[in-house]
Amino acid sequence: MTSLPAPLIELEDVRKTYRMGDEDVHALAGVTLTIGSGEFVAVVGPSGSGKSTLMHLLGLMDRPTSGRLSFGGQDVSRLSSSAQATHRARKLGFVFQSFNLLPRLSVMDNVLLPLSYARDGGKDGRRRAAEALERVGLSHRARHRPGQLSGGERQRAGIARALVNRPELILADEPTGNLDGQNVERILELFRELHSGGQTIVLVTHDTNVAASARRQIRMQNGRVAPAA
Amino acid sequence: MLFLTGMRDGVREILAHPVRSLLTLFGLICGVASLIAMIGMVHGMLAGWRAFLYETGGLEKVGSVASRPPAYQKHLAGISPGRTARDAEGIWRNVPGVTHISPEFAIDEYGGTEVKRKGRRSPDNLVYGVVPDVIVINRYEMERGRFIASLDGERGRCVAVIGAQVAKDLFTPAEDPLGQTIDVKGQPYRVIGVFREAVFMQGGRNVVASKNRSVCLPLKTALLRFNGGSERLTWLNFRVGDVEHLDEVVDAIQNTLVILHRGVLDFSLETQEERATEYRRTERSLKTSMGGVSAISLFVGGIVITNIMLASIKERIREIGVRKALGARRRDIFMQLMAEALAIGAVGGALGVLAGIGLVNLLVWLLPGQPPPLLVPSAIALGFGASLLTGLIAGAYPAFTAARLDPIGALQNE
Repeated sequence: MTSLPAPLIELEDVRKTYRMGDEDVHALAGVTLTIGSGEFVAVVGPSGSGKSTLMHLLGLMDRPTSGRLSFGGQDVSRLSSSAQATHRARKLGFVFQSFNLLPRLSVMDNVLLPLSYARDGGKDGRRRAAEALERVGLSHRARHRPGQLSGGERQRAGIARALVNRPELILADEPTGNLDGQNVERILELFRELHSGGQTIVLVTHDTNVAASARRQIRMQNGRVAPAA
Repeated sequence: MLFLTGMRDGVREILAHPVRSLLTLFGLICGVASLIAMIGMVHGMLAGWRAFLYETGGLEKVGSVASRPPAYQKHLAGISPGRTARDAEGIWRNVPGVTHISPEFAIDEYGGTEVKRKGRRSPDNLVYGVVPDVIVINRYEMERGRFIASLDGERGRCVAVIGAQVAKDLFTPAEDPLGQTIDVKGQPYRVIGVFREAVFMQGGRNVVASKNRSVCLPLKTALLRFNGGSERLTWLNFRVGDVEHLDEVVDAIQNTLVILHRGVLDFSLETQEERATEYRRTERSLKTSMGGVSAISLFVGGIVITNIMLASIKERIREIGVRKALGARRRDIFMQLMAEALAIGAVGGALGVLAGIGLVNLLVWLLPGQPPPLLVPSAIALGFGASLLTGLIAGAYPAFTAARLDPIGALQNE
C-alpha cells in the first residue's frame, strides 16, 4: 500500500449491548476500525457475529451503547433521530437484499425517493435520477413498476436509488442474496465499476465468493473484528 | 412537495382498494350528507316560516279575539260592550305605538260564505267588512282597481274588493270584473278592485291560498247589512310600529281595552311572537337532533378511518422502514400519512357532498307538503370542511404510530 486513503469512517471501541430478558447480549463487544474514503470493503462473518449490528450503526439507524463513531471526521454516535435521518438522506445509499422497492411507485419515483428526503438540489432531481438509471443500464425501465422487472433489474434499480444522492458511502446488505449466478456477477461488476470511480462501498455478506470481489475483508466473530487470516 | 406526494399516495391507496375505501368512507359520507340535509331542512323551514309569517302580517301584527271572561267575572259579562269599532278609536287615541288598526267584521268567520254572479258560484269565501288599514296589516296587494276607502265606509256604499280565486270563480278570463255586480247573500255589490294572487308554495301547496278567497266590504256597510247595526267586531287587529317595543305596546293595548270593556276580560291579545318562538324551538330541536346524527356519523367515520389506517400501516411497515432508511424523518412519515388522511377526508367529503345534494333532492321529492329543504352553499363548505377535519383527527394517531416505528424493526418486518 503506497498511500493511505483519508479515513471516512472511524470506530473506536464501539459496543452495542441489547437487553434480552434478564441477560445482556453484546452484539458488538468493542470494535475499532477505520474505513478509508474510496475503499471497497466486505464485512463477512456467520450470522450472529455482529455484522448486521455493525451495518445498522454505520447506516445510522441505531446508536452505539458506548464508544465513538465518526463519519468524515464528525462524531455521529449521538445524533438525534432526525439528524440521523438527514445524514442517511444526504450521505448514505442503501442497497437491500430484498431490493425494497416500493411496489406502487414507478422505478423512476423509487429512485427519486431519497432526493425528496434529502431536501436539497430540488430542480435537477429528475436529471440525476435519469443519470443514475443510465448508469445501471435501466433507462428503458424508468416508467415500469418494480413488479414488472426481473430480480436482477430490481437490484439494479435499487443501486440506482442508492446512487442518486451521490452518497459518500454505499451500504449493501447481502445485495446478491436473492439473485441467481448470472445476475450476481452483473451486480458485483457494477459495484467494482462504482469502486473504480471512487465510490466508498461497504458490503455485508456471508458468501465468501461475493466477499472476494471487495479489496478488503473485515471478518466479524462474536461481536469483534477477527484478526486477518 | 412531500405533502403533495403524500396526497397522491393517499388517493392511490384509496383507488387501489375501491370497496374497502367505500366502506371506510361510509361513515364520513353519511355524516357530511346528513349535515348538508339537516342545514338544508332547517333553512327550508326557516324560509317557509319567514315567508308565512310575513304573508300573515309579520311579527308586528297584534290580534285581539273574543274570549270567555274568567269565572269570577261571569256575572259581569253583560256590562261589557264587547269589541266594537269604539275600541279601535280608543286604541288609536291612547296607544301611540300602534300605526295601523283594523277592525273587522266577518259574515262567517270560518270563511264559509258563498258569493254568486249570473249563475256562477264561488263557495267558501271569507266575506268581511274592513277599513283601509287592513290592506297593510293583512298584506293585500292590488291587481286591478282600487281598495276600499274611508269614504266608502262613511257613505255605506255597497262595493267589494275580491280575491283572485273569487274573480276566477265568478268571471271568465275575458271579462273585466271591475264595475260588475256580484251577489253576497242576496245583496248586490259592485266590484271596485281585485287583489293580486297570493302565492306561497310549500312543497307543492299554496299555504296562503285562503287569502285569495277574501271578499272585502266597507266595515260600516257590512255592520249595517249583516250585523243588524251592532258594532260588535269579529277581529280587531293592530300593527305595531316598532317590534322592539312589542311587549310594551301590547300591555298598553291591554290596559286600554280593559277600561273600554269596563274591566271585563272578555278578549285576549295574540301576537305572532308565540308562533315565532315555537318556530325557533322546532329549529333548535331539529338542529340538535340532526346535528347529533351528523356528529355521531362523523365520529364513527373517524374511528373507522383510524382503524383502517392502522391496518394499512401494519401492511406497510416495511415501506415505512424503507422510507426511513432512505432518510425520511419522523415528521416526514407523519406528514405523509396526514396527507393521506387528508386525501381520505377530501374524497369522503366530496362523495358526502354529492350524497348530500342527492339527499336534499330526495327529501324534496319524498316530503311534499313540507317546507322544501334548501341546498345551502355554506352547508356544503361546512360539510366538506368537517370531513377534512375528521380525516386529520382520525389520521393523527396512526400517523404518529407510524412515525415512531423503529427503522431496523420495520425493515425486518415480513
